[in-house]
Amino acid sequence: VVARRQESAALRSALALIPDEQRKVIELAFFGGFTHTEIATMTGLAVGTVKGRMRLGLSKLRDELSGKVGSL
Amino acid sequence: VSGETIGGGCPLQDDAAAYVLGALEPAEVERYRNHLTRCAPCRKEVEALQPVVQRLRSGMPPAEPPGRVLEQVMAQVRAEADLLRSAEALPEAFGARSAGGARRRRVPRSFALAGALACALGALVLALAPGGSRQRLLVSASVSPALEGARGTVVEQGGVGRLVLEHMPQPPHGKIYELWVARPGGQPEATGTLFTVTSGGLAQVGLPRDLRRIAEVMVTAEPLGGTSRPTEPPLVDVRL
Repeated sequence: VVARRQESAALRSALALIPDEQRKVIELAFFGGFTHTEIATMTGLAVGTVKGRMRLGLSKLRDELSGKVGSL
Repeated sequence: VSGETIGGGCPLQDDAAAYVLGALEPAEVERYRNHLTRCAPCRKEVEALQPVVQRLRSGMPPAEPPGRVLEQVMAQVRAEADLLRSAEALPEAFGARSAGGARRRRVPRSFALAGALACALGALVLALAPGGSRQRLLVSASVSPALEGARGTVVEQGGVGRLVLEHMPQPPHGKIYELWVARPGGQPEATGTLFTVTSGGLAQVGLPRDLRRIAEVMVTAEPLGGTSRPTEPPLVDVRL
């Protein structure tokens, strides 16, 4: 249980470190189950921008997680 | 290098993240899988990002029970409606000079509502899909011919239902959309949920938790602040 809490805290910390606009599209996709087209409609962004932010955000999240907690 | 990505050069490189997040459109998924068999850079990108999503999936339980978050979201929407009512009652208060002498800018109602909806949506999506579960279509809505081209569906995800409206026009001037539910054989009951739609005509509205007790979901356009009983026939009607 402690390890799970630590992992959850590490993930939340890492998520908090990526730019807001990138975190938002990742959260909408991951937690909300929305597609990139739906997210583009909701946010008023171009589809390409949404996908680009997803990619940059996940890449930064990978860097944060691999550099600070555990390994991927 | 922070944020460095791998699939350089391929026009579909940005699709890798959407793919591992499960955010590609269903029709795109198979196409992208086929692309991955031929594109090594994109394959490497997927292999690099996939563990991040797997780790999120295994380590991010929802912070609060979905129902609790949903209640908070609805309370937020109601509070915003109250605020708007106050603004209607005291129009001068928003234009009065502050102690510092600067004139406050009155927040356009549409912006305030859009903000409330955006905040609600942001919190709502966190409530809807613990563990990254996918949404499930339950039933399509009957939509008034007055809403030409509009479409409504009720979807369920993680045990929570929501009404998704697409291609909806903005509510008529001085009105706002209000959500109603009816139990089997019952009259429409106010849910307290008032909403507008995005510039793209999209709205997503959380439904009461126990969908099994609801026979019908309706949407009407009501005066700002909402009403306790519908004042017109439903624009959107979903029989569950």
